[in-house]
Amino acid sequence: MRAPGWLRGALLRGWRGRRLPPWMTVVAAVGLILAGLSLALYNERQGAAQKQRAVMVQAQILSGSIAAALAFDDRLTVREYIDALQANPDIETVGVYDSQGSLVAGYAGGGYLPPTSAVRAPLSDGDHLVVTAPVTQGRTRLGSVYLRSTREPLVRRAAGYSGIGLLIVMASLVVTVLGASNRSLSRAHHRVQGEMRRRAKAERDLRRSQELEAATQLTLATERGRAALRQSEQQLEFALDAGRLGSWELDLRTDAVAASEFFRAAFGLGPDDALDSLRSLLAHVDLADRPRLQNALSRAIADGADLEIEYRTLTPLDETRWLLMRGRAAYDEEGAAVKIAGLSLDITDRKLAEQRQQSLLDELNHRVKNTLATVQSIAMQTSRTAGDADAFEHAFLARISALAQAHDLLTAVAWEGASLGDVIRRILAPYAAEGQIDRLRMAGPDVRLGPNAAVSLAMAFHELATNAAKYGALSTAAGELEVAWTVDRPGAGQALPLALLGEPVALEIEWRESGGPAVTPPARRGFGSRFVEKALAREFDGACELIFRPEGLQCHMRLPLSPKLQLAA
Amino acid sequence: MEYAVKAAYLYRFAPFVQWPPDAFASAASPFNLCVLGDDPFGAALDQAVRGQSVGDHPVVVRRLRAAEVATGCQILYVQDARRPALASALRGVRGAPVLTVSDQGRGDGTIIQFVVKEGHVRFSIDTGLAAASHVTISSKLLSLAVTTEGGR
Repeated sequence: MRAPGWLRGALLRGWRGRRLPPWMTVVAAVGLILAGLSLALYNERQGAAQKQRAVMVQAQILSGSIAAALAFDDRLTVREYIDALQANPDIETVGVYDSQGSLVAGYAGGGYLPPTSAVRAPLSDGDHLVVTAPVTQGRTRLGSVYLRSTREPLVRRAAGYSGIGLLIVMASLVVTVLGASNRSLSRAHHRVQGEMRRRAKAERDLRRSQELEAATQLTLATERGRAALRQSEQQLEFALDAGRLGSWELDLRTDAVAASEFFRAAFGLGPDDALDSLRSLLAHVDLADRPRLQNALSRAIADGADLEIEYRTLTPLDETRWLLMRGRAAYDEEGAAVKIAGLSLDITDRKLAEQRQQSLLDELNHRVKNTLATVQSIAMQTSRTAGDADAFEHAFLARISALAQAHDLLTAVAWEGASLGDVIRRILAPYAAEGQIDRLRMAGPDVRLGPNAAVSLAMAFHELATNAAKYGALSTAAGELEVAWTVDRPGAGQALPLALLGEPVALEIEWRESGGPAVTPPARRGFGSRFVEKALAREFDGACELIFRPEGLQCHMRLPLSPKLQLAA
Repeated sequence: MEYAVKAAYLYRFAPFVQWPPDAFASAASPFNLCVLGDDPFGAALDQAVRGQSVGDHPVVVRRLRAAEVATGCQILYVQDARRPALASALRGVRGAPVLTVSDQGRGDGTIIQFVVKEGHVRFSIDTGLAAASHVTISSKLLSLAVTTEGGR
């Protein structure tokens, strides 16, 4: 049977630890009493039925036992069976009747024994129970038996139930006490539960706030870490970019190559060009440097030593670049090499500078040797023509000075050659003092001389100027000097290859003095004459001629525009 | 008076004895109560069994002469089983499901023998012979017997 909703709700509330209402305690106690009464009534009925069954069994046993004796009229045997029943105090009256209903034998222990009997249903008479049973054998009716049994008095039976009643009353009291305790406990339970809920909520709030704070801290730390990492990466990238450093990494397990933009640039490769394996990397290395690079990589991986190697790369445009590569291998916990990585620097400019420096050193060596040879020659020639030591000193120093001026001129342009006009102006500068500038006239196109030609022509013009200052036009105030030069181009009718027609082939320099003392041809040739007419002409495969005209010295130089003389255009 | 009691007892043995099914020719066959030889009961026997039946079998009294075959009887009474003719007839039904009753003492070849004890008619039972005749006697009847003999 399903309990009403209000009762289920009340019970559920009770089971959930809530307070049990007082009326429920009363209902429970009344229920217990009713249950006890029902139990007693049920027990009484069961007892009566059991008693009836027991008496019926006694009657049937007696019926079966006396069947033969009744059939053969053996009253003595019947009497013996009846006497045996008298031992049972509950059997008050016993009667045995024949098939005609006449009493055969029996006894009445204080009760009434009917003279005749008929079989009928059991009858309860107060504290007595009357039971009859037929005596049969097969289908033959032989007679009947009559039993009147006493039951335990009602007072005594009721006393027997008093124990149960007492238990019920005690149970009701226990229920009442428990109900009261339950109310008290429920109130305490409610208070504890309320407190627990408040504490749980406070703990949840605290935990949430702690988690929030921790999450915030973690986020901030992560953000700071990321920012620091970004800054570090940016600094590293900036440093690498500023230093034009490339980065590279070779995964030794997969042979995969990862390279930065600068690293790729050293191979003339863009971000999308293939450079994803050691093989593709070596394919862009100069063939002569490949074995060296492979050996260096193998050694660094095997020994754990630092890798440092300079090698040439071949760009897709067949341009050769130099690359300095440094790196170091990394190993796993078992000591197996897993990768090698490092930085690279494009050192092409440095290599070119080194080559230029070497060339300059070689050139300087060459020039120093030449200069020393020139000085040696000047010293020898001057000593040969100088009359005394003073004259030698004067002439030698002057010539060394001219040589120094030519060197100064060349040094100013890093020995890249000098302009012919500048050479002439530098040598004649001492004679172009204020008030004398009008005496000097220089005219000619811009001709670039090689370093050797500049020195030689400077020395030649120094000898000519010194001679003019001592004996010629520059020795008097009225003397004049004109230096003119032209670039001779071959004209029509000259036997030259068609390709050279219109191209400059020779430098024509004309040194012309006038207004000075009358000139007479010298009796002997000095250092200057020999230098100009022989040494200079021989050095440049040209022709130089000194013409001692009375009105002034004239020097005509025709020097082929060869690589010796002229810088390449 | 004695034989009137014995006549009533003859019929009253029937409820306490169980015959095998083949003891009857059919389910409705009569229950034959036979008297072999002298009939000491007279009309008392007929009066005692009148209207009676054993199960579905109506009780019929058959009086047989000594020479007649007693097979087909469920109860066979002989007054004096020691007489040669009756003894011969009793031997003829030995092993057959026939409850034999006599007035003589023990050892006369019948299963039940009437005895008079202290002025009351009682009986003794030979259970060994009952077993040999394939009839089963209730323990109630055995408990009422004056004496019982078992085994062969």
